[in-house]
Amino acid sequence: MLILTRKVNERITIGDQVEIVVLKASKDKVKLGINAPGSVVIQRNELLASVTQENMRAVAGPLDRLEQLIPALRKQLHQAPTA
Amino acid sequence: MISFSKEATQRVAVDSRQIITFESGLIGLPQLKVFALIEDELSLPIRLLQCVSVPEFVFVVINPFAIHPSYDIEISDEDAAELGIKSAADVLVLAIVTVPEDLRFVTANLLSPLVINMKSKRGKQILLTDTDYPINYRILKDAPIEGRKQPSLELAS
Repeated sequence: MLILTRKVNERITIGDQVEIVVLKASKDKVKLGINAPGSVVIQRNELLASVTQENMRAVAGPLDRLEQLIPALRKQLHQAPTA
Repeated sequence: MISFSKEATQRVAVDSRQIITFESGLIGLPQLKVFALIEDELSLPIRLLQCVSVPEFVFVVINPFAIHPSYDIEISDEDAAELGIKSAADVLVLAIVTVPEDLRFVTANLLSPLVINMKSKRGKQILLTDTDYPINYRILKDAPIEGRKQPSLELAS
């Protein structure tokens, strides 16, 4: 891993399209600004981790649970006022 | 008609499913790329998504618009281009459902829905930004009554 030390308002450039600027730094928090084209996906890693975890949890268990879920859900949707 | 049988992971007729390719897999599960989307009219808005290469990987999915009255998502130009989306009418949006043993806690992931171009049969799990949609949206308002079965859904045994 490349480790760089930057001061507030100093920048780094990644590739030729991504620029990161340190906007604010405090004891345990840094505020970053990122300039990148729309095609570059930027995500908070913990969000990706929680989606990963939810995807794992969602791998279906016994499908006979659907035997109760589907009728209950359909009944509920049938009762809901059509908006 | 097909049924979501207990053995759905082993035997589902090939002609009753549509093959959808997720080029980058699902989030955190990049190896799962090719899925069969299994649909049964009597089970809608629930469908199944079964991985073709690892059939044990079955996901229960739901039409999120059916369960959340004001659900609204924006597909980025990049994602639309990646999936070859030309018309919103070709897009099927699905939310992955987590089905725990206690059905009161069945939830749908509204934060990172699956976007599928039904024309090109290509899909992607996108992660919505700038929204408050929960990753675990409760879909059953009342717990189903234990042990009571509705005759409308015939499950193969």
